Amino acid sequence: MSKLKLLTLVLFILPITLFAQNNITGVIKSDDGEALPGVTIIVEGTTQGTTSNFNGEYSISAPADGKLVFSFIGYLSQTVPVNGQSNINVVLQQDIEELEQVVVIGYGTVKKSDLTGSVTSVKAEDLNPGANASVEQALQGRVAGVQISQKSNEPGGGLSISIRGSGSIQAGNEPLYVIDGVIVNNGSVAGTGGVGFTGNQNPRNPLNSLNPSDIASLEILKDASATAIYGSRGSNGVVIITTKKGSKGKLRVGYDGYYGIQQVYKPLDVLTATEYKDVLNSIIDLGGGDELQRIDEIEGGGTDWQDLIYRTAKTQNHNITMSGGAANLTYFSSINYFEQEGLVEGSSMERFNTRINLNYDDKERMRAGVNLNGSYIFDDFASTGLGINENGGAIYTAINYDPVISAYAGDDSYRKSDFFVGDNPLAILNGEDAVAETFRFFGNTFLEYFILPELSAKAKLGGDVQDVRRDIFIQPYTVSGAGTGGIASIQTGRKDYVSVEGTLNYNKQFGENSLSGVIGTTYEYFQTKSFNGNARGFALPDLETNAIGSGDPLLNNLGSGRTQAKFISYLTRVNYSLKDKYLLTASFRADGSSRFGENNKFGYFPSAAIAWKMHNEGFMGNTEWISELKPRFSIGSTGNASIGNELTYQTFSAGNQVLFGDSFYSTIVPSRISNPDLTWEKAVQIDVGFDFGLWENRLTGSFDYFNKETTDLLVSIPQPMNTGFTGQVQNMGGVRNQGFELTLSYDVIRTTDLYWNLSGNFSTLKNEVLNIGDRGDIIHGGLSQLPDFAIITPGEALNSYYGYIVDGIWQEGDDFSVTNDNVSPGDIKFRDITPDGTINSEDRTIIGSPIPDFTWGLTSNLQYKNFSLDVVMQGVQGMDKLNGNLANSMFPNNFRQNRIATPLLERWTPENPSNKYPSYVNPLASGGTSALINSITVEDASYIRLQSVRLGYDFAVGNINFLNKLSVYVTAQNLFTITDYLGTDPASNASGSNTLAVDFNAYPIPRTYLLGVNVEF
Amino acid sequence: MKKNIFKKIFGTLLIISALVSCEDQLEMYPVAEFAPGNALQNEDGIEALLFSAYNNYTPGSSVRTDILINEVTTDVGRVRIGAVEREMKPFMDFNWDASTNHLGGLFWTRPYTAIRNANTLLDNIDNSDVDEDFKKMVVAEARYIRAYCYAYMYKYFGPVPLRTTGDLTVQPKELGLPTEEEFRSFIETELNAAAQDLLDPSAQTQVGRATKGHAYAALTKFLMNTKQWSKVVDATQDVLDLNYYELFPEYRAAFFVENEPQTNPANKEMIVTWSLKNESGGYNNDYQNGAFPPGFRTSDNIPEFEWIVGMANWPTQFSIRDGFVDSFDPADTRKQTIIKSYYNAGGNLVNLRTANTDNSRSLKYFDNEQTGNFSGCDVPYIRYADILLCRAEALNELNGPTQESVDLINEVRNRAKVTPYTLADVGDKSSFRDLILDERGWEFFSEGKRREDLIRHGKFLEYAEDRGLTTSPEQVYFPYPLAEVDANTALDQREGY
Repeated sequence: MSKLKLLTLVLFILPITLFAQNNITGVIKSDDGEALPGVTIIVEGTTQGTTSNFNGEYSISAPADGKLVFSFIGYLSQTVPVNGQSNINVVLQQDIEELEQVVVIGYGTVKKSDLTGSVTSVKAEDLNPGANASVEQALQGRVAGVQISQKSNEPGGGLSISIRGSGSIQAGNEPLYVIDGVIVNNGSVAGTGGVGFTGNQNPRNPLNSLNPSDIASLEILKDASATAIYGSRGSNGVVIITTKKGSKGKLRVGYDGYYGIQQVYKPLDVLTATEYKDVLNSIIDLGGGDELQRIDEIEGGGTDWQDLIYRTAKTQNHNITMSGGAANLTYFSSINYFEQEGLVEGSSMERFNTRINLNYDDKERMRAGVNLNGSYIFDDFASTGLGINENGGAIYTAINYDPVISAYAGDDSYRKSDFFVGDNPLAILNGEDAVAETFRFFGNTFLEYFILPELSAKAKLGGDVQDVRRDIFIQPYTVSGAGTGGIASIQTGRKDYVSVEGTLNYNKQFGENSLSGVIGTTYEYFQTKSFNGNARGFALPDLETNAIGSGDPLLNNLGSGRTQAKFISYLTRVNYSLKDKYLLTASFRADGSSRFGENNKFGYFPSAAIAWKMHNEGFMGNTEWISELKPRFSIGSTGNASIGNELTYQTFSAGNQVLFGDSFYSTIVPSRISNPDLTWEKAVQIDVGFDFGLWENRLTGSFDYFNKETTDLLVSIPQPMNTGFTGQVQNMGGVRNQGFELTLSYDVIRTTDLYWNLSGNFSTLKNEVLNIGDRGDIIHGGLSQLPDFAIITPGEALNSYYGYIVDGIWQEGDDFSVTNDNVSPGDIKFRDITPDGTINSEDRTIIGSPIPDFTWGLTSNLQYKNFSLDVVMQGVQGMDKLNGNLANSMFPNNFRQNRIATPLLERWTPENPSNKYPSYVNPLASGGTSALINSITVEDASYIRLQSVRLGYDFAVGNINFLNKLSVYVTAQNLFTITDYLGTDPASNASGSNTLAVDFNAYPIPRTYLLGVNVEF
Repeated sequence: MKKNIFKKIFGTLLIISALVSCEDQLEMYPVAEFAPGNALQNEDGIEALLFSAYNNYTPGSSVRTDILINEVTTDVGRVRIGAVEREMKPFMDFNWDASTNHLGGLFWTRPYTAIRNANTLLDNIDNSDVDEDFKKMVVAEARYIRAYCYAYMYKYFGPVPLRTTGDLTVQPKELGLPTEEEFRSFIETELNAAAQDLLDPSAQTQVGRATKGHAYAALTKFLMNTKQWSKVVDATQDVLDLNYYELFPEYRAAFFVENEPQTNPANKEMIVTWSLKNESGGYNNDYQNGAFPPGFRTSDNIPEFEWIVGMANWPTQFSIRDGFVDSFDPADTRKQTIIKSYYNAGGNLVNLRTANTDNSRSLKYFDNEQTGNFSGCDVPYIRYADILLCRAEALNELNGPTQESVDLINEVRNRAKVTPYTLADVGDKSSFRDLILDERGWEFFSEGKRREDLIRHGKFLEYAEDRGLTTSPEQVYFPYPLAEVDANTALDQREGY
């Protein structure tokens, strides 16, 4: 007999020999009458225990004077004295508190108190109030370590979301989204352009197709212990979205809706017609510009172009839900209509959305569910993109157009400037139209079978199909369409995603200890298809894209594309809780992908975490003011697989056509120098933190320090260009993100009538490029004739601004012998870093960082009787931004173009020798092309924003039979922004990238007022 | 019971792993790209690859930048205002460096991309199964493109790394400079060889595709820039012997859209010409957009053209220097291409010369069908007039002024309606040399030839100094692009940069 068997025997025999044992049987039910399988029953003070079977029945031996402890996750534990009974039936009460504290993590759930990683859970009621097209807008300022900024304020515009900083240069920096357990293929499908159309560089937010009201909770997985289960796609963090489920009971029908108006918070402050005339003529007087461009008259009092293109716009949302449940089935369904008009005429978004969630749970062996989401989005786009000069969009031209001319010419046609090459802003608005229709359908179905009460097998099938068609038409009366007879483009795109996943789940309590684990495998397929065609030369442009074939067939262009990728993964995780004091989590994922080079097909991502529930320790017994104190530590490895689908293959691609005489011929070109070694980017993250609750959880919070090092970054390594290739994509270099995060929530007042909670978050971020291999610094980012403005160099933040330092303005009497440049008083004095007497590209240096030093959010929630008042503020400190419009104002392409007022009105003149702004007589006096990027145009873009204020009233409906709930509210959004920044919106970013930041022709911030009602029958 | 459970567990695991076990599924060849094995098997694939070499050999709409850089560095042109001034400032001020815009793209990567595509064709042609005549033709075209591109880069950089195959195991990525002799010999050999198999100009139906004329004309220009005079005489003789090329009767009209060779076969002056079209996609001529003065509508000099709303008129101003404008013989019809006054949107006659110095405009290129930025006026690169003047210059260098060389220059002068020179007029070798340089200026302004002509005549730096600039001797060449020097360890930067 082995020692182990002997020990077991002793352990079992010992109690029997010491006490008189009764055999006790019974049935355990829940408070709603269902039998509960898997309940742990132990004899108090011993290790002796058992669990209930599928019928809730148990059998155990216990001393007649002993006590039985019944415990089950989600229910309150009960202790029952045996008192000699042989049959003890128990009804366990659901632990409401406990239920709410279950947190969804990848491939499973965990009790909040048992979390070992850094996971922030946000419930639906904690989302920002107001008109939010997508859920990310409703999360702004809410979560420490998650920076969300609206890149474009157009309806449904793109957002940038970074969780714990940005670690990638070329691969994506977006987090992974998981909806109801299924990864979503979250790219935008059709392009942002269209021939002749100046589309916004930022594609629409793909999550617009999820109705924010359908969301029950969001979990933001931040540290590697939480994200490593998503392996090669976890390094940018994971956002897990769980949609609402029905609950048992009769049918509940709810309606909530709002209606509101939006106004332009702050248009760009440009010169008025009179100021413009005076300023430009006086610059010509001093020798600038061109005599031929002098302004003689102001036509009809001039034109405020921005005023003409902006409007007061409406927004509305209507949401009807039906939910309930009976026997083993619960259901939730919703239909939603959302409309947001844009502040720029001709831009808007409409969404029709429906969701059905069904859940089956027989409480014995089977669970099953179906979650389906269908949406239709109609987007109307105004031409507001990055184009310049004759390709400028409506906002660009409205900012820059000659303010001294009328909007219309005598014959009601659009008045065109004789000096500014762009089109009349109204002609652009009316003559350049783009609309898109998006159908998106995503959902999943699963079946879970309990082989044992503690062991289940689960199969899950998920899918996501997104289909977009974008129609663009450019009228022949616009500059873009002039002479073409109209340009029609149709772009279609489809994105497919299928996932199949199988897991085995184990969950068991052993006395005070518990063990849970999951092991599984997944298969995923991604596909993107696109088709586009455009036509010109319409004899009658009336039919637009409805009859694209009516154009001149010789001028048609066609294009198409298709990419695909596969992932095959194996994953496992174990959670162990020892004595409800010591928590341990370990996980592992292996990811194989078609994107990875043949020499690196599989990546492996382990993680581990420990946590200590100190408040459960005996020695903490006396400190009653501490209700929770839980230090945590985690470490793990994750990856970023957003590296493109084809880079590992050597191929030929279709090239540009060649023109011989008047005829075009097709070409093919070698695609790339392939890289068979290409792999995912690798991130290793350490997180140290603690969660705490004090004074009966009156003050709760958590604190984290994290350090995430991303290496093997995807970088295009410059090749000797004599090979005909300029670069090869390789894995190289590293970036570190580290920071502190603090989240606090404090119940200032807790009384029956009055409740006031203040909560806030604060996070710091230090981003540092560690190395970028042997290649030199990467200086890039140039767009729309703004030269390269960002640098990637070791020791500095990713994409730091790189340009000249302005030391002031050259003044009369200065010593001009120190410079060889042809500068005069009134010109900008750049710092000559390499003191060679001339300002050239070598004098550029780091002049700012697009990454904030810290971000914060503050929420106040006040309830007095039936009134509630919610206030949300957020702020960003220590962030710089390149103001492209300011660069354009100081270094204009056209002399006759309008400019931001302050720098022109406060310019250097012989009478008023300013040391801040130059004379603009000779903008290119020194510095060359790089002059546009300097310490004036790169501005401090820190801001404090009153995000939303909501005042609500809950009617007492207790005496009305058919009503469960009735409340009304008014909400105001974006009431004010405090900033020194000269542009319209310090948060905007036109680059289309999350880390390269430039504000150019920003869509203005809407200030929104809403009136809403919420009723449930 | 236990057994049953394990059966179920393993059963489930088996089902799951069956779903995903095929790891060879992770091989997914890009479905929207061609596999090398299939792409280059037939004539269509080979031709498509050849055409991609042509596509990078022709500058397309960057021809505007090419012209500007070759003229704002000289006594002919300048640019004021806007983004193009920012781009051209280092060239105008003679303070370019290795990172200056366009050195790495237009002058280096673009021709090297054409060379890559030509090399890829030459590397793979023997593995394909194509007709011998077809093969001979495309090989000759690929060799012409490759040699042309090297000769083009020579103008800016002198000898450059001589990549003759796309196989990076044969010629590593890091490739150093050949000797001057190797480089010259390669270009001369290749162009002469290509000329043997290329079509006669009369047989070529696709305007822009290489002919014997292309090869001999490109060779002429290269030999001129390397001052191999007797070889120039031979090469120009080869062009003359084709008995195809002739001057178009009227100078200005030779550039009109309706007289482009594809439309008017009587135009036999254009030897190497860049086809351009009034369409987007990088095929358009946009030189005139910068040349139009503010509010331009019409000009007495250019009665054929009226600017209408919808045509671009850029804020930037491409101008012609006063000294150059004033150097023309008043009778010279070529001068009519330059405007000194115009009617603006208000119908007023505006005098450009009084508004600003160096403010005349060249309207050699215009297109009444221009839409937006897109004008379709072709730009010639080597005209027959150039061959005549090159031959005259070479003969003068070899023998001093002779009746033959004076006749050659007079052929060009007669077309311009200026008094022809007599042998006595031209003086000695040195004064005739200066006259030929002047003639080239008047004949080829706005065609991007002035820089190489001044360099050949040793006046490039001298003229710049005359404009008040500080120059240094290495500036007759540009520095190798910074990105190349950084990535190619076998290439050291040119002395002085």
